[in-house]
Amino acid sequence: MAVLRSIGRFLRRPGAIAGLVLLALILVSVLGPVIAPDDPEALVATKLQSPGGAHLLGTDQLGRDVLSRVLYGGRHTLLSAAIAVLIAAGVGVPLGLVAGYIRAWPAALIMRLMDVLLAFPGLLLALVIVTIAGQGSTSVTVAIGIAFIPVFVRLVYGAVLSARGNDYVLAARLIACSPARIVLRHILPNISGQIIVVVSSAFGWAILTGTILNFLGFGVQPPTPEWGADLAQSKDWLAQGWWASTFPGVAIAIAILAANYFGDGWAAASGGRRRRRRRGAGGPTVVAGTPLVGPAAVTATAEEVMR
Amino acid sequence: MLIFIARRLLQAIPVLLGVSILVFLVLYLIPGDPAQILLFGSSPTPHQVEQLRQQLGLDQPLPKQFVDFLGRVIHGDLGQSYVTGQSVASEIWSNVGATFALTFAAMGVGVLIGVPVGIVSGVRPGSWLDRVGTAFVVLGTAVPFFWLAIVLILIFAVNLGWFPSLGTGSPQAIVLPAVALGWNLAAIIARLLRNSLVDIYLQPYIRVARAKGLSARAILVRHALKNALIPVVTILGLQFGNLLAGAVVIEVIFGRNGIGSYLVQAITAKDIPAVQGVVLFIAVLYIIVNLLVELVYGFLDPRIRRGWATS
Repeated sequence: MAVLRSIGRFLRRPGAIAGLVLLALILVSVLGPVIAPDDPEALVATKLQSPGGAHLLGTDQLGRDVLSRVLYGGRHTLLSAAIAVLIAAGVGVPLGLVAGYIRAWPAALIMRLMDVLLAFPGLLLALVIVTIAGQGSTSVTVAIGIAFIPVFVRLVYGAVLSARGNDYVLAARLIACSPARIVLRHILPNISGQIIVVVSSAFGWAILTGTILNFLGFGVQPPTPEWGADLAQSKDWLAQGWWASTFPGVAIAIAILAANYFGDGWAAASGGRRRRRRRGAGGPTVVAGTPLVGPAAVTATAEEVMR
Repeated sequence: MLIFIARRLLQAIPVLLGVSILVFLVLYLIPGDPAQILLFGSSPTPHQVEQLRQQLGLDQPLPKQFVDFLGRVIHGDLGQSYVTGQSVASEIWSNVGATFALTFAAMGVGVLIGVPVGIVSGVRPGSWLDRVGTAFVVLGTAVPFFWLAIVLILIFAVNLGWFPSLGTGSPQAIVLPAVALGWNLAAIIARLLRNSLVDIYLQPYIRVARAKGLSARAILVRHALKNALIPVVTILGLQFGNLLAGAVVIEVIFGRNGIGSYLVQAITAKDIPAVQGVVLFIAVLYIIVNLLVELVYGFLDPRIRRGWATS
């Protein structure tokens, strides 16, 4: 089983550690209510107590426990990012498969539409959608999901185009498989590795964009804990207490780092030898979790992986 | 080559058209009556709403409205904000300078940090310097830039007092925002340059240069960098749009003027014409910059130019 071998190799790589960190973050967020020492919205202590003692990461400008807020905040951030990626992949992958295999007018139409969407920097597209859908955490999630659709379409489209020429596709066509069967049973499993890589880096990018939109105040409303929103609310108290805005920021950085390295590790474990040689050091190959890398640039790196 | 340029310009037209359709539709995709949405917050009388509807032609069929919209946009009229009462185009015009200054300063930071780090790592892959460079890349890509902005304010403005933490006033005020915005670009450039240098140093023509006794410095400057810097130019173009989008956040954090903070105010105030104007402006700019980059790319790399001639 190719998948099992990939998993075996995967565990021996730094990407695996990133994956475990990611898993730990998700676990901690799910278990937030159980392990958080305090109610994240309750005013439990004096304002801006420094870290240590009863409040491990200190208290914020209102006297809420920072650790509890970070633990609860992750639930929101990570869940919203996961749903956003699901939306993007759920719409983008089928569109890419259709455009890549059928190649008649639907292909041209879909790809031109994606060109238009990619003409907007990712964050800007998300902001436009928030303007249309209204503010709030649901519309932030949907906005990020839609903003990331073109990346999946482009990736899958390119992958299908290059897979079409393979002998196994020809063989399937010769034994009169239907196009749907060829695409779903033959091509899709062969390009799934590439999709996983993009899913993973898209997750990092979604975390970043989500926290930015919350930071700007378009997402959750206070007192709901969320990493980006907490960062925004505590930043005016930097001089009095650095910890209240620093720890949510650290949490965001760790989550993005883990998402990037997970995809990278997966690509290295499931991909060819050539990729591994080029990778070596030098940081993650698919840097989607970066603030300034919107969908357009991610496509560039995703194509880089495919070459 | 002229044919190639002409063809690329023609290919950009449908994208530009699509972008304008999308921006135009923003007003109609918001649930509710467009005239009411435009007058949001001013509690208009039914008479005012009706007046605006006729004035803007909102009672016309949609395609007709779009053609009118396009006609106005081409003449530089992006409509009027019903929140501030100002012309959107002139508001953008008065804010765009500050945003460009920030964006180009951030590009400067990206190049000034990214290129040296990339060269040092790429020339000796696996050395301790390369490991330091890699650590920089990892941090640069993972650390959220808006959080970095806050850390920079804490260290250099609050604690050390070297730079102002807010405002657009003094020339020093651009330093912290530019570093926060450009830091990530620096990491991207460093990674790209390192990887292309590593690949290039394995090429036969570098071995030839070594064999004929060129110094390491001459090989780097005259042979390796010439090729390795080409992708860096591309990434600068690709990242331009993202820098503009990132400037939205940076301007808010540092309380700077610019089209970014203008956009955020507009979204918050549901000032739809202003949102449409800024978004259209940034998207069109982004398309133009990418076209230019593609042309510069061919100018820098003769192999691509030859590809143009044959295609």
